[in-house]
Amino acid sequence: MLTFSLRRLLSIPPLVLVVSFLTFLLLKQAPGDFYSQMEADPTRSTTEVLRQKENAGLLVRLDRNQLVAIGEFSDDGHRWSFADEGGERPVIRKDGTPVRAKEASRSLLKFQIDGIQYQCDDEAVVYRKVGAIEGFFSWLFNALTLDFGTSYKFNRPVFGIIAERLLNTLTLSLAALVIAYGLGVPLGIFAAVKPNSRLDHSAGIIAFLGLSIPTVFFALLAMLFASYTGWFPIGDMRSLDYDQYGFFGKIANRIHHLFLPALVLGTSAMAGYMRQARGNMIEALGQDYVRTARAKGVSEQGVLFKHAFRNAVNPLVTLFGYSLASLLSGSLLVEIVMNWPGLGRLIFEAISAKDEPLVLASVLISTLLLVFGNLAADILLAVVDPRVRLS
Amino acid sequence: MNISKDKSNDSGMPPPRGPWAILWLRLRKNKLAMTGGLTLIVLYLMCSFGGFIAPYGMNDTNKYTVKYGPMLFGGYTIVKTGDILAEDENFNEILLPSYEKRWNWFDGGLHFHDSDGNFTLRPHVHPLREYESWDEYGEMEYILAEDQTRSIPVRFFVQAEEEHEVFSLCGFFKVFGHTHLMGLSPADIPQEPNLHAGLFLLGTDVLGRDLWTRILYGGQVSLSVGLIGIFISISIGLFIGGLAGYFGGIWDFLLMRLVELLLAIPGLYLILTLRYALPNDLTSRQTYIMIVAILAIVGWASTGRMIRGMVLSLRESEYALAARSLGGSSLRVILRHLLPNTASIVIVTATLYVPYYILGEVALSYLGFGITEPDSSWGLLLKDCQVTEVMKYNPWLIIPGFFIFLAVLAYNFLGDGLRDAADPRAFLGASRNHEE
Repeated sequence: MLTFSLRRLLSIPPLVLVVSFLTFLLLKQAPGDFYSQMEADPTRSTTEVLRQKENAGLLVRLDRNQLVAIGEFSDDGHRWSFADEGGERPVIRKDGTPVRAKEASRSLLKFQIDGIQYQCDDEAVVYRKVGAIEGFFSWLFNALTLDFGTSYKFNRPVFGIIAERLLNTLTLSLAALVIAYGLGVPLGIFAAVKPNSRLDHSAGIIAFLGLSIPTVFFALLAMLFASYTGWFPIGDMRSLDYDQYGFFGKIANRIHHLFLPALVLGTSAMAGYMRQARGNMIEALGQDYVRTARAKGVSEQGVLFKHAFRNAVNPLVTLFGYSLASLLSGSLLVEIVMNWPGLGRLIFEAISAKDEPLVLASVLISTLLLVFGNLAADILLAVVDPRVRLS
Repeated sequence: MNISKDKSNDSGMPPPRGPWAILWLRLRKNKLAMTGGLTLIVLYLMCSFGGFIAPYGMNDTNKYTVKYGPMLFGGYTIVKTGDILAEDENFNEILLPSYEKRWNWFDGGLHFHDSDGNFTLRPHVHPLREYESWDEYGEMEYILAEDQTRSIPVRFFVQAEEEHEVFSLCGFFKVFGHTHLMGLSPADIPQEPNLHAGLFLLGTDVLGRDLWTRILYGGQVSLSVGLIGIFISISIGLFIGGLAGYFGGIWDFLLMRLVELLLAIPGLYLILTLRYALPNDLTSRQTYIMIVAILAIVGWASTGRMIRGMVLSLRESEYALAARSLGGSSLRVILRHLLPNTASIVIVTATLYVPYYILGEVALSYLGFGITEPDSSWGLLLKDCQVTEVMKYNPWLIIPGFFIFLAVLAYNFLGDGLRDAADPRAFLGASRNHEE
């Protein structure tokens, strides 16, 4: 099992690397970026915007030697060149005659030489656009030191934002899991003990409804319920007057806010657990050891809980790892509809604002969550069930 | 085939049934599955003929009837809440009325009596009147409520002035015409100031468009995305899964790593990222194709892996071996022998996965990355509920959600029934139907 875990662990870094590379390329492929609107805004100075882009790692400022090394090029039907003539800055020549920086920058706003894009600010300082591959590697080296860049939108390090939001998403998912297990497993077991009873049939209907109800719709219904009755807060994680509460008041306030989103997320997950628990229990009840136990005269309760239940419930322990994918996707919608400041709402906000570092980091962290969840589930399955051999 | 037929005739037994006939027989016994199938047929037919069934065109707006309640369930009446003391231009004190609208469940709205109050079989609606209501600051606002003294008959097969689509196949093949199944005839509507009329069975949206009409048009998008999306992704899955499973080796390795890559990113995160990479200024047709493409790209991975596993085991079966030893080419063995044997499971999986495509479209459109105004889709319609206050005071805006729910539920019922009917042993260990 150790070798299995090790091998699986070793397969994670390449996967994460490829995911981040492809995501990076996808994001670079997108039309326009966070700064496009600023650049198009005539009231903003180009110098300022380009300097921001340089800080964000999108542009590299060319120094004197690099500028001169560009040599002669043509743009819009004119011949341009930067020549080092000993002055403070290189002399810009247009069709052979020197021109002033202001004039040059007006016509050289964006130009392209041999597929490399350049941008020029008001004072004719030239920047080179960082290519996708180059950008990825500089991002990667920073990422190895846990520096995922600075969010354009929030103007804060991405790492801090993600850590904060991740905690919220995990809280929500965990609460949803507790609800899903707490309701799903007992219902499934009871349904299996009395198959085709009224309980079984209503449990089956609940499972179908839970599986089928669209998350967006369910979350909206919950919001409608909250706004009509006023029993639950509408969105967010805590009240505005949160700081005034004592320790227990704070906890109660948090749970009050958490309850409805967790219930919505948990109910759809519950259906799966219930069906699984019912199926496992029915299978366990049909096994030879159950018959043997009954033949020995073990009480019905003993048969159910000591023999069948344990065997039925073991595989369920690991289900949470596999349900992480649907839980993460589900929580994305619940968070957005119910205004829960988690990872899902973060990526939504980041995509709306074209905040590339934030999008990239969110995708990456959600992938990591999923991959580790699956790994944990595989290992747990082997731990609880000796019949499963990992190889 | 002939031989077996002769044999069965000799023994007096009915001819043996093919696998599809057996599947159909089993499925027919499953009431829930049949209900689901029937619901789907009705939904698809309803949306295909949406333009005909709808009383209005998709974007017929009426600025006077913004956010009016669903006439199927009742109507608004006016209640006087008091008088506001004010002065007219000659500084004489006057009293201005202050009104409030009140919702009456199953009173008003669509009803069965004519203007004189006599019962008729023909449904009627009341015209809507704008009442001038004054508040304490001297501001006047119009409140729209029923004028219950009058009734307008709802006519069947009314002719609209403008041409609308009558039939549409997934939004691609359209037939246009003037006839609507039901609606108000312009001749019946009294021409008076401040008097409006409309047949808003499920209410109107924030722009005053009939919600029932928008739902019917929106269903064309939401329901067809599911079908087309699953068709594309199953095709990709069959191709890649078959390739990887049959040839194995490096093909298998590379393709399965690709599958793992796609499955490692949580679905909606991947969908949103793919959407991010695509431009925003798309026409409605392009948006539709983009949504289908994104959902299919994300969705083929799991089916591909499943089919690969099946082909992997079927490859070693005797009939595949026989076909190979008889000189059958790889393509022939895959197409003639292996893939047909996966057919029943593919159909079951497809039915069970269609909801994910429908929900994917709903999620994208709800978040504002999918279908956009002025088009319609069930996800887009739910977008009106994004502001909780708007939803609270106009709760009928959530009705499109029931249609999504219904479609998904029907697909799940049908898929579950199909799974049990196809081959119970093939799904051993998978979750079971509750109608065992």
